[in-house]
Amino acid sequence: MAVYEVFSYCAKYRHKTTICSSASVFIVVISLLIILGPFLLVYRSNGFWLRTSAYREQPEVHFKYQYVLIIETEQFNNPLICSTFSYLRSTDHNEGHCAIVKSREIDNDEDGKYDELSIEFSVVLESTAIYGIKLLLVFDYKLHAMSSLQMESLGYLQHSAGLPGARFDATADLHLVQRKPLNSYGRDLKYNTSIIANENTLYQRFDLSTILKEYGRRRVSTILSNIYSLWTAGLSSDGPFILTVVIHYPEQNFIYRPRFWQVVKWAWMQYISVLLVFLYVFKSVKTYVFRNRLIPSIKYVPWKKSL
Amino acid sequence: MRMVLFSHGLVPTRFLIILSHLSIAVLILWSRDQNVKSCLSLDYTDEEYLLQDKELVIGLSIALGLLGFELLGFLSGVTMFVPLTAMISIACHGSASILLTYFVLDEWDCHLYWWLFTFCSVLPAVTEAVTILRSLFLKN
Repeated sequence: MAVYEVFSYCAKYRHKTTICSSASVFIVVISLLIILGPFLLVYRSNGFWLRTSAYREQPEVHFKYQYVLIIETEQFNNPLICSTFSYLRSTDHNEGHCAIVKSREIDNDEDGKYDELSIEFSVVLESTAIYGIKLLLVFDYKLHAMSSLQMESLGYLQHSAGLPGARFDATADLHLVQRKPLNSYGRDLKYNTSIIANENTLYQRFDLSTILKEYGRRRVSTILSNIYSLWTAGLSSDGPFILTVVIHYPEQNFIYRPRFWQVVKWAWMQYISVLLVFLYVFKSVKTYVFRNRLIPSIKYVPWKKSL
Repeated sequence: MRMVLFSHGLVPTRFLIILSHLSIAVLILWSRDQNVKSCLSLDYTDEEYLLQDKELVIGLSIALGLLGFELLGFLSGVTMFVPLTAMISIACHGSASILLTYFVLDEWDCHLYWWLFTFCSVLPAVTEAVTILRSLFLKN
């Protein structure tokens, strides 16, 4: 009748020694190597502590229906300013009419977040040629997945040409620009204040360069990128100047600072994977040393009552 | 009896590890240019370069000398069968070989070399000398 091994288990040899002996020193040194060695290896090969991480989200963006449109004409020190801010509108401009605006926000994939803004301005300027435009759109920008970020942000578009224009079409994406990683928790309402003042106070006149400089100093802001613009030349006497802009709100990668347990989880994974190798190698070393009695110690054999 | 037991493993291991340390030390001595440059600032003068170069050459030469001394003690049979010396020698020269390889490949600072020198060249040579002296006195 053939037999096979059904089960096996180990018998233990014990090696004992006093606290002050070379075997103790040996074990202490080996244990230090086992604990510190993997840490050294993993730390020196970079990426041990996760300082930043990234995630993807589509932001929740609403156009606040506030804009400033500056039309540059051949009278370059007297541009036509059209705006929802009443104190900015050029009241002394005899030549032109401010824009007729059509705008709508569209949710293409029906997930509750708007995906694009389509806005059209129509400016009537009979006898002056239009050479450039500057457009400031104000958005309300929200993020939900990590920290609750809510801020007011700008989309700034500008174009100037050598030929007078009859039409300007542009399409762009609204992208978040971050100088520092976002938080992974909590509320971030630092930039939830108005960028352009709602009314004209004595010390707060509208100065586009100051507004843009202050906006450019922000830690977190938005920018119009991936811009395709088309300036169609023509004379404004032939009809109104049409300006159409389509702004998409795409999904984007955001960089954030991970919290304690995420960092520790990744660090532990790296550490323990090297620790297992070290444990195996040094167990072989210890077995070799004690089995061949390279260091003096008292050996207890399991089936003998005495040494 | 004890000598026969571990001559299977310990003696050839020690011999090979000493040789590996020897070969890596000779290699660094031959191509030490990048390592010398890595411990100087970006704009260095020729005198600074020669000084650092001389330091590294001295360190490597002394290490080679100590290695030679240890090899002599080992091959002559005086310390061939002393297990404690063998284990210390294997541990030190093994870590020296690995760390010196990193020293060359990662272009470490040349100040780090002195740490390697102390723990991985001086220590086994000292234990070797102590073992030789003990064997001489015990014989007497």
